[in-house]
Amino acid sequence: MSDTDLLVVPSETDFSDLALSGFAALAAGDLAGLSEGGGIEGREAGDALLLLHRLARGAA
Amino acid sequence: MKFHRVSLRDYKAIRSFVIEPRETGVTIIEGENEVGKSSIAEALWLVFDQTDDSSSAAVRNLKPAGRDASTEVEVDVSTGQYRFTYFKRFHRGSRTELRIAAPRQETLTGREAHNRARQILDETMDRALWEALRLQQGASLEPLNAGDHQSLLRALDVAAGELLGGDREQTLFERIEQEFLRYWTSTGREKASGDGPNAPRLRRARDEAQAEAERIAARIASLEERANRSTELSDQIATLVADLERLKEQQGELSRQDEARQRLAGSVETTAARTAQLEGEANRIANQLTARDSVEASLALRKSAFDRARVELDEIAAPLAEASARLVRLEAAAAEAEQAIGAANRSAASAEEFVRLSERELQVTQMSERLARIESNEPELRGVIGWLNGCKVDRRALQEIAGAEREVERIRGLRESEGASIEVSALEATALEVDGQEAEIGPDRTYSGKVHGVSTLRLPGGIVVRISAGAAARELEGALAAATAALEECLAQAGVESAQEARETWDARIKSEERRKFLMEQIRADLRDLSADALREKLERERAAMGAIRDAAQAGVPESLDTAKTLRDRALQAARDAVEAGKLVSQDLQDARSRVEQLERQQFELSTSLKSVAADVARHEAELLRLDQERGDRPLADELASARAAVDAATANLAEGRLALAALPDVSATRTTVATELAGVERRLQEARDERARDVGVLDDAGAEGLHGLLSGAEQQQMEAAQELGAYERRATAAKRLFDTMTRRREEARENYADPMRRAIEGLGKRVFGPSFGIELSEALQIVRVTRSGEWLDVGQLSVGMREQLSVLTRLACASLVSASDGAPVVLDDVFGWADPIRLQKLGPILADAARETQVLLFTCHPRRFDSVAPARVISLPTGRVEERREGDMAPAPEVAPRAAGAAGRSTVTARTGTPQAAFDLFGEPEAAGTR
Repeated sequence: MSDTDLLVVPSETDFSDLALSGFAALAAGDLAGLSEGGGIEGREAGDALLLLHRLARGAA
Repeated sequence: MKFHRVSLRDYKAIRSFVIEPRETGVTIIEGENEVGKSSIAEALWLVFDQTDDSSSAAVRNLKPAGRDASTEVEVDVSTGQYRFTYFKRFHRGSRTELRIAAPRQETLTGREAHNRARQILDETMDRALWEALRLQQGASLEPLNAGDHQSLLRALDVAAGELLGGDREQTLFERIEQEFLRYWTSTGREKASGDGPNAPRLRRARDEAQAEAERIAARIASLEERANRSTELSDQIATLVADLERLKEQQGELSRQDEARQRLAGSVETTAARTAQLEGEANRIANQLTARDSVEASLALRKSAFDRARVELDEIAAPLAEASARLVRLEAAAAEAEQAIGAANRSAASAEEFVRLSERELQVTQMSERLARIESNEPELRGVIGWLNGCKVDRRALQEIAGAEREVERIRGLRESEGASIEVSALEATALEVDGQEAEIGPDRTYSGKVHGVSTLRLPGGIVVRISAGAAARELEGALAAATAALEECLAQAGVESAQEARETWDARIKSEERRKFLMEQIRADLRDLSADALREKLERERAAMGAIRDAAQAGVPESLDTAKTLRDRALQAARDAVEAGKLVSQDLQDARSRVEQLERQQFELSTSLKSVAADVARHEAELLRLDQERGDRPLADELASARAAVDAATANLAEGRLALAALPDVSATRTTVATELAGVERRLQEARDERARDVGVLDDAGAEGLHGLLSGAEQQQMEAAQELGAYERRATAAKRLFDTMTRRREEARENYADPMRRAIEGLGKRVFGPSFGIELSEALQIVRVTRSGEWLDVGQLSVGMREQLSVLTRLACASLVSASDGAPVVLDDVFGWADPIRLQKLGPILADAARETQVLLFTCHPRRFDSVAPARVISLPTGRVEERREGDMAPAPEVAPRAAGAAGRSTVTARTGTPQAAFDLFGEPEAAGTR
């Protein structure tokens, strides 16, 4: 099992908890929209969202 | 944030100072240099920045010079939801006290109060913006970098829909950027250097692990293949040994069969050779027979050709003779034609000579006629010239005569009109005498006359009538006589009797002139370039020469030139005809020569051919004779029959032998194949044995390596490297996508922020610099370019004054953009030093307008500079006078209130409104600290 096989995927509620505003909230919305589209781009957007989640919690 | 009150005591040179600025709008603190304006501004920051026990230079410098006094600063402030009074004493007896009145009462002292005050400021305002909104004269005039201030950005964010976010978003962006830079360079390329993993390094590790696993797997596969091969080789060797034995036995049997067949084949070959020999002999004889027949046929052909050539040669003799005869005839005719042409040419030359002779005679005749005309005309010309020389009537003389004649006629006419008229009549015929002339008068005859002088009439009966004309008539009579005399004088000079004669003589003169001209031209034409004597001599010479020629010429000389020309033309035509006839004869002669030459050439060629054919016939006859002599007595046909019979017998024997040979199988190829196969089997057997020996050695050596264990480890390493690379790339991709998305949204947000900021600055700027004023903001919301009247300039290119004015306007615009709770006072210390009066006049109202929602503290040592700022509160130092200036007011003259009694050294100033606004004791003793 690789490290990408087991992921903790944040829910929308988790993102709401981050309480992002301004351009950050818009960017998060962009990535969420892309991730729902699936495919390679969707997977990349999902990864970016996970990263955003991690960094935003650290920046809180 | 707003300052409601500021109180200083023993602050540098200030002993005591209290001011209550406007909460919104402009408060002008004016005063001369060194009165402490800048110190007041400084205290607004220092009270929050420095602890009361600070030993910093800034605090040490607060101490009044020459006195051991503590410095006190107290401010009443509202910011956000807070309203508090903050007191700080420095130096001796240092103390800090914070009394919070709202939202709930709270009192703190010491460092706790200091920290709490800073906490409140940090919580409610942008301290950096507050610092930035302060502008001092002489400070850097760099435009305000608005993008650095979160409160301003918050304000812009609100205007732009809160797109920029707050500190947290900014921190988040910086973390995202740091994450991005872990994997990528700032220009977006893969990071390939530095410590730690990076994509190229991980790819190399993965590729190396993969290569190692592949190498070991290939090694194992090779060994397994080699083991399998060794087993195969053992089976192969057993098979090859069996094949080898079988092939050797087969080879012996084939050798025996092949040797028997070889012997029979040798006998057949001998028979075949004998048969071929006999066939050669028969063919030779047949060839000889064919050759003789050929020579014989060729001889017959050549004899036939000889006969034909002979006949042709005979046939050509007659035409040749005929052509030769014709050639002789034509050669004679050509000679005759040549003679005729010569005769005709001579006749033509003679005729031409006669023509020239006749033309010369004609010239002599013409010359005689010219000489005759000259001899006739010359005397007449001399006569005409002589008459003309003697004639005195020329144009001038004729004009004078005509003029004199007209004068005589004119005077005569006048005399007739002026003279007395006489008319005598009688009833009967009567004779009378008038001036001695008799006249007859009667019933039908009357005497009429004119009297110009005195006239006497004698009538019958002795009657004498004397009639005298008047004086005018007599004068005219004299004039007439004079004119008549003048006329006669002219006539005499012209040698004529009357005027009519003169006119006739003039006509004759004109005709003589014309005749003279005609004669001279004719003589000149006849003489041409000769004189008359020369012409005469030339004529004589020609006559003599012509006479000699005629005498020498024989009869037949033409009588005239026309006759000579006719004869000449005929002779020339005869010559041309002779030449044409000669050409025809010459052409015929040429044709005849060609024909003779052609026939002679044919005759020569036939003769040569005849000789050649005769030589061939002789040669063939000799060859035939030689062949017959060689043959001997026996005919060639018989010999040929015998030879062919021998051939047939040999051929029958050969066929019989070949049948027998065919009955035996040919095993030579099979024998060769078996031999080759046998050699191949031996070779393969040896190779298989060698290869098996090598494989056994290699497998024995590899047994101890433990390759499968190595392969398992390498494959594990390869998988881990691939997973690590995949995870890295996925993290890098995620970081890049997150950074790109965030950057794009952030840039969009920044662009949106710029608009309200730009509009605010341009709104103020247009009022100062005109309606064409515009600015360009950088990404950091800093003014980078300015336009006026369409021309864009970098900020650095602007004048110092304009840059200072832009700095003030930018701060005012920023202050107006932030919210009331977020905002901070704008502090302007001696600004607009470079503005001209007109610009200042414009700036004043703009400053006041921009400060309607903002607290602006303006310090200046030039009170008049801000006269146009209204509404405003004006506090003058050191008097402390306070004035409320309303919109539209001009700056009033200052009114200084008298010092309060009992307050030595302290002056309190009251505004015109009567409301105490500020209290000053700049030079008196401060109150004791404990009295507060």
